[in-house]
Amino acid sequence: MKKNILILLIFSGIFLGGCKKYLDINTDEDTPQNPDPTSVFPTQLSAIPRGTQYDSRYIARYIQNWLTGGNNNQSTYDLHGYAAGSDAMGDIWRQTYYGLGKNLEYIITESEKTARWDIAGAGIALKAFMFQTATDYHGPIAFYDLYKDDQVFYKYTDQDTVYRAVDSLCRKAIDYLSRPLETTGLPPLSRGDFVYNGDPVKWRKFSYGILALNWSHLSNKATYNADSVIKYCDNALSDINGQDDFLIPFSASKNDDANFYGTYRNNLVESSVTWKASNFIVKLLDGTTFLGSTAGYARDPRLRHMLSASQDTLNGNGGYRGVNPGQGDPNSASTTSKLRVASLWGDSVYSNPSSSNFTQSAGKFLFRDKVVHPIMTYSEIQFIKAEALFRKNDKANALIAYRNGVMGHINFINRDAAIPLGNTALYNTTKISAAEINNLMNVNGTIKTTAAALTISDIMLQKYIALWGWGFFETWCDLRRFHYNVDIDPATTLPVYRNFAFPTSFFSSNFGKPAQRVRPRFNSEYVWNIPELQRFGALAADYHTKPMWFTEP
Amino acid sequence: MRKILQLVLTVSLMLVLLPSSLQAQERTINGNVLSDDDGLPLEGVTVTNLRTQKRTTTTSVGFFSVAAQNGDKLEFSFIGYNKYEMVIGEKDITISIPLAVAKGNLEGVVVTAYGVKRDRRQLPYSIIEVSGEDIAQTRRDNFLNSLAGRVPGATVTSTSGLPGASSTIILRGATSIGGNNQPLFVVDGIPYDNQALNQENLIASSNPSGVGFANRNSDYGNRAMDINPDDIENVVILKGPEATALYGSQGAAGVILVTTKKGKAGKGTVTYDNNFGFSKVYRFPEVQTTYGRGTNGIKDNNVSTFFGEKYPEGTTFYDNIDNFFRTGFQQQHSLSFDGGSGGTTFRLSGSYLNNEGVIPVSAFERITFKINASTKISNKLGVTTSASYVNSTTDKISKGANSPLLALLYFPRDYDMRNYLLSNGSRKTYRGGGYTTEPDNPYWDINKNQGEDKTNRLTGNVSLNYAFAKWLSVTGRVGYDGYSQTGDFVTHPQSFYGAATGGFLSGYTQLTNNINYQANATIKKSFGKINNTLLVGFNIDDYKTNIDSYRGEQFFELNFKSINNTKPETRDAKNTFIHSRNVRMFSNYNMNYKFLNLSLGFTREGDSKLTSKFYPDKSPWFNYGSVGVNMIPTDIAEVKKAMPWLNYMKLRFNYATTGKSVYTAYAIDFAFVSQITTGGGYSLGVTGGNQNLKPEITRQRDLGIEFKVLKNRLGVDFTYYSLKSRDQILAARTSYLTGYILKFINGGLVQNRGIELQLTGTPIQSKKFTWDLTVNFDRNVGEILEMPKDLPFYYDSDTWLYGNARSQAFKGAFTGNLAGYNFQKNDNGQLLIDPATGYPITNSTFQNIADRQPDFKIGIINSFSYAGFNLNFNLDIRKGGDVFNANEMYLYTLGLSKKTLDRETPRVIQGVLRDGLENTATPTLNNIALTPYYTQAYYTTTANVSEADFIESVDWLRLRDISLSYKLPTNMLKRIGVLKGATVTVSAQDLFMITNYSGADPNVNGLNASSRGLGGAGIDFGAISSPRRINFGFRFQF
Repeated sequence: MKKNILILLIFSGIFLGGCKKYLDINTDEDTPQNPDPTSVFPTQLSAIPRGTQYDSRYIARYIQNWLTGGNNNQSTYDLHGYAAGSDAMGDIWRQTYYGLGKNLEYIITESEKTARWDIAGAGIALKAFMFQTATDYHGPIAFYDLYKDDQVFYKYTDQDTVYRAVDSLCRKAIDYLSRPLETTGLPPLSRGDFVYNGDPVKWRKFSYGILALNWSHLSNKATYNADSVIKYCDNALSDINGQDDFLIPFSASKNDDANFYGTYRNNLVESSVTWKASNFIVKLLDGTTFLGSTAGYARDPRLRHMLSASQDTLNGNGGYRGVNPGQGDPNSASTTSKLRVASLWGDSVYSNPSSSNFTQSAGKFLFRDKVVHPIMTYSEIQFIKAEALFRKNDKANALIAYRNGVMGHINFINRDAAIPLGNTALYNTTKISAAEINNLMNVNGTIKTTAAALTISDIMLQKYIALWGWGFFETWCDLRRFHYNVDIDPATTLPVYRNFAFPTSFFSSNFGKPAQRVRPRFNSEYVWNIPELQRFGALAADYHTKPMWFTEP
Repeated sequence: MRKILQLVLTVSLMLVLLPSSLQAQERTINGNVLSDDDGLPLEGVTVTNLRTQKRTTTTSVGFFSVAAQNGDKLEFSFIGYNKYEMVIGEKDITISIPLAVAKGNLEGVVVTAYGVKRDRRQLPYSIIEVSGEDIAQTRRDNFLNSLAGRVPGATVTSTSGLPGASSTIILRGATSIGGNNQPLFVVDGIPYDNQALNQENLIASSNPSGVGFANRNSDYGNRAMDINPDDIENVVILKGPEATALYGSQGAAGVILVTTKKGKAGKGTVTYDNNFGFSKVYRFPEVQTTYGRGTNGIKDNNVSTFFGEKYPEGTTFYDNIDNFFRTGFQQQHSLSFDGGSGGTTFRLSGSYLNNEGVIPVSAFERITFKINASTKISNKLGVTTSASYVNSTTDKISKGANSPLLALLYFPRDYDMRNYLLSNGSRKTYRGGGYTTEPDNPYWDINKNQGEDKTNRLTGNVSLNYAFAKWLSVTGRVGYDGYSQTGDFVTHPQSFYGAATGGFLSGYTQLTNNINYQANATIKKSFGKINNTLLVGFNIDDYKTNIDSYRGEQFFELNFKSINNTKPETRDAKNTFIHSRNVRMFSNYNMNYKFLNLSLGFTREGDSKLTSKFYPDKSPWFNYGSVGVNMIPTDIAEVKKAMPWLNYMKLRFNYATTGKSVYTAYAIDFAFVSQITTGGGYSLGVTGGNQNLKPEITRQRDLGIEFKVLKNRLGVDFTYYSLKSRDQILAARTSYLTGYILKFINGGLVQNRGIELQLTGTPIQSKKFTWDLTVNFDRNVGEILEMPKDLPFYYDSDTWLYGNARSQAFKGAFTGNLAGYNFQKNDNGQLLIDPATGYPITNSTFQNIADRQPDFKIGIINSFSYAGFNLNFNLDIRKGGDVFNANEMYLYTLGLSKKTLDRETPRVIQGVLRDGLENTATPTLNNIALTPYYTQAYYTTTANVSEADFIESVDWLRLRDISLSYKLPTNMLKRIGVLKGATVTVSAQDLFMITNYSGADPNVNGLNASSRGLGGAGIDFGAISSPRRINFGFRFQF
């Protein structure tokens, strides 16, 4: 009996000891739970257009890249409104905290552990870029209080602190990306980086670019430092042929890896109403704004590559028509009218040309299945630099940067070599010719050739053109810094953004004011984090019209 | 006892086989019947001569007198006692019969946790037993459905009335708001997998148009339906805390113990059983046929809303619904052999079931084989083994949105739906437009968008029992349960959803391999009058499920269903592998002293789902236990003397804790998910793990009383229980600042309280006629006392399947809560009216609009027997419990609901205008007149239609099952020859339902059985109601 008990005890001891090991199998066998950072990296790149393109559908209408096309269309977003109780405009939030969010933290921590500074640096740069975008979009956001296992309510950080935090992140990224690469035997950054192919120098340039954005946004503040902005620009993307450009390509083999604006995914529509180019961009490109003429010589050669012509080619500018905010296209109801504004997908195109097939030929400019979505370009940096130089009153150098910016954009359209993942070139059939370039740059007067003639308006409007169709968030920052069409260019005594027209009335909750920020995502914050919104006054119906810290003096 | 019976049986069999010339003439046999336990005479015992079917009952001194001849078999039956049969021998003139107290009644032995047989009298909790015969006679494919009404405290919900549909069963209410509330199934001591495929595990989470599957459109069955009802000896339902405390995580929602039939020693028996059933669906949502297609009163045959003009007189209407459905035909055959000798018994069975549903194409086919054998290797060592194989095929019909049922309802009645094909075999659209201009014709849908599931399942176990000593026996068991399930879902290239992608195919293969090991030792020792039983043991489970899924688009051949027929670049695949292990060490101590019983249980459980690769200190272990006391006052001589009318009484008290681990594996560490975006790779999934997760703990209190009066003819079993479940584990939607969209968290408190009552009685017992009656009553109230982490609410997005209504939990709500939109009111409760339109306005926020828990349920099971006839029926009554009639709301917004028939009546909706004065002393009364006929937005604008208007509190009385059987008397059989027994049965299921519900069938589920929490029960959208079925069958024994 005693012996039996002893055996039983020994047996149970062994049993208990072995059990923990036996039970230690809670590791997913179908998907790694601690993947290499380079396996996570590609998803971080492809998650960027997801958020920016989703939300651009709405922001593009605030900034009038395009507008709602339906006749008499008092679209909420044309009127600077928002949909209460909806996740519309909530995708930057999703991208910041979910799409990238904790994944970037993982990439950074894991690569720091293995001394792969290039990967960690690239991760930090993406993090800095994401938070810069998110704060410019939403104002105060969660920055320090994040990602805790047993916490469901989170605190936000003021915008000035987020700005400083992004600055610090960029410096850390630059530090990491400047360190000599160690041979670790572990997978290199190039394995997961289909944008820069693992080149830390380009990532460092990108990080400087974020610093340039960060510092240039503070132009209305007494603390604004043009020299710093210029310095950051000089260290940022520097190749006029765009080899440094941060462009996200697409594979376009199925819905999930195709460009969101492409014909296959069919997203340039809202309840069957196709979005149409605004009159503002049409006027910028057809000669109206710069030269007061739409005659052939006055038109910008980029016009036929960026915008789509209607069938009404005898309208005086080659058939390019646009719409005004909150009005839509008066001819849209007719199915035969030649006066209808064409869709962004192509000349004389009014409906989706190819919804169920991937094709390289359908669509136009940035609105195709397999074209890149730019995140930062050389020309963008040059315009930031030009503005800083202009503010510093160094007009001679401002002119150079400004002309580089325009040239950079022309090259961006003309580029057909070494586009990541073999994506389609952006130009329409034939490149912009040397003669066209010469006419624009030196002859017809659209692009200033002398420092004396250069105005801040020239810089900002050319920047608007260069960022059209992709740089929505930076353009919105610019428009807010210049208070849309309110700030006057002293040189012309016209608004800096001349011809930018507000809708005749704003959305009802705006109480007559234009939008200044976007409310945090509904199905994240307005449902689950209400106490914090209360603290920031974000429950007010017109919270979205409250000016941002960065635009205020 | 058993040996004597065997002997008697053998002798009687020999006698039966003797030539008739040797048999004597009929004579009178006299005798008396005594109770086995106290030797007292029993009054009212029915004595039947099985040859002649003549009956008598015993007198007050237990005396009887009956005519019989040599070889006749006499049957003695009495409520509360085992039936006794004896064969009259030559010498028998005066006989004395001892009747033993029945098992399976309020007393006797019952199989409980881990196959341990226990005396009912000593159990501190109530135990419900349903006999296999009762289950088999209902002729249901899925045996879960036959438990409805038979088990107090059980709520059985089927997902639809089609063959192969899944069913859920919830015992005593949902304790987990976001976890699994399905009980554990245990067959012959081995856990039996009851998974229902969750569509989250498929590569295609939506159809080509992005409409999410979310467990709404397709049903994959619940795997407990693989059990052949004819193989079931009995089913024991453990809801009691002690039992669940022994099974821990897996049994936290209750345990259903299925014991299968075993062979009996003696001459072998062959049983053949068949059944032929015809079913017809007879309950449909109603639609109006007054107004035709159009908008705002203007005819337009190119829209699918019915707000047009009245159909002109003389319009030909087609009976599309009647044409579409067919009479379902079900046939079942089962054959079993059993026998044994010298300590060895076996039973071999095979069955075939084919159920062709009421919708053409829909069908369920099942073939089962099972062998049970047991033998005694030595005096001390016994071996039991069983193996079973099941093969089933389900031909599926989609449900929910875009199901053929809904399409049937909205299809114009002035169009003959049977015209769904062009002469060349292509799809014909009734409006003549493109394939995406109108949803699929139901005929097209069922014939061209076919789905199918096939299952092959093999289970087996070996169990060894060794008696070391009289007081110590050890049992060891190994069980295997494995199956493969393959299936697909297709949308034809010409169908509404398939057209955009040129056809769409999604398929999967699920392989499940579960292994169970257990060992336990039972020690029985008495010290004086104190009887002690100690059970100690361990149980190890190893569960593996592997799901490979694939999808493809753009079919080459229009009508060919294969991944090879899709365009290579559209093909995608995904693998889901779930592996978990669970170890439990349990002990259960029972002490019996005279009329007092004490029971103590303690279990330590280790669950792999709590371990972490990154936090090695995280312990998988947790403990729980139970304490139970009961006393039987009627065992006290004084009580018995003082209250002789009280035949039996037991008082019980039980307290237990149960731990429930995470409901899914890999919820602790990072959950990366493979992405199909450009460049591929991994990123963190929607649901975030949580390294701090700990088990959900339920504390249960259970009080009960059982008594029997009127000479054991009336029995009452009453239970009150209260369950408090703490630290709910759920994947909750929270702020994205967690880094995820859903996040595993712990917390909250859910309470379930309720009563269960079972009355058993024999209202009539006479010489020829017996009426047995069982009445089950239960009521459960589940409330959410605290929300995890003070979250404002939690909802199950799968249940948000139509309009804005969804299963939502928040503090103070009932567990069956549905939240949805209702109409805005002012502070005085007056309806607010939109001054611009004159319509009421919904709150666009989720309000508490319904509680799906019934007020109470009653099951009444009647059994009448007269001569060889037996009539059995089961009435199921439910009072209250809300159902969201989403079908009706859907029809309403299309102008098809009969509620829209008064559209030409001008009206002013009573209420006050929302003009800023609504909360002042003098609100503006609404005086805006409207005629919906001209302004259909009244019916169609979501802001003006409230889900709350389509909530119905449902009462029902349904005749679940009824069967009439006739057992042929033995003397008739003798003339036939080889037959030992023959029974003819006529039965019916779901014959009628009396209900206040305006829709078709309120007992449906908007989702399939894989959903968690309370799931989609009580959401009626696009599911076929239970058809009524009439069956004929024979049973022969050789």
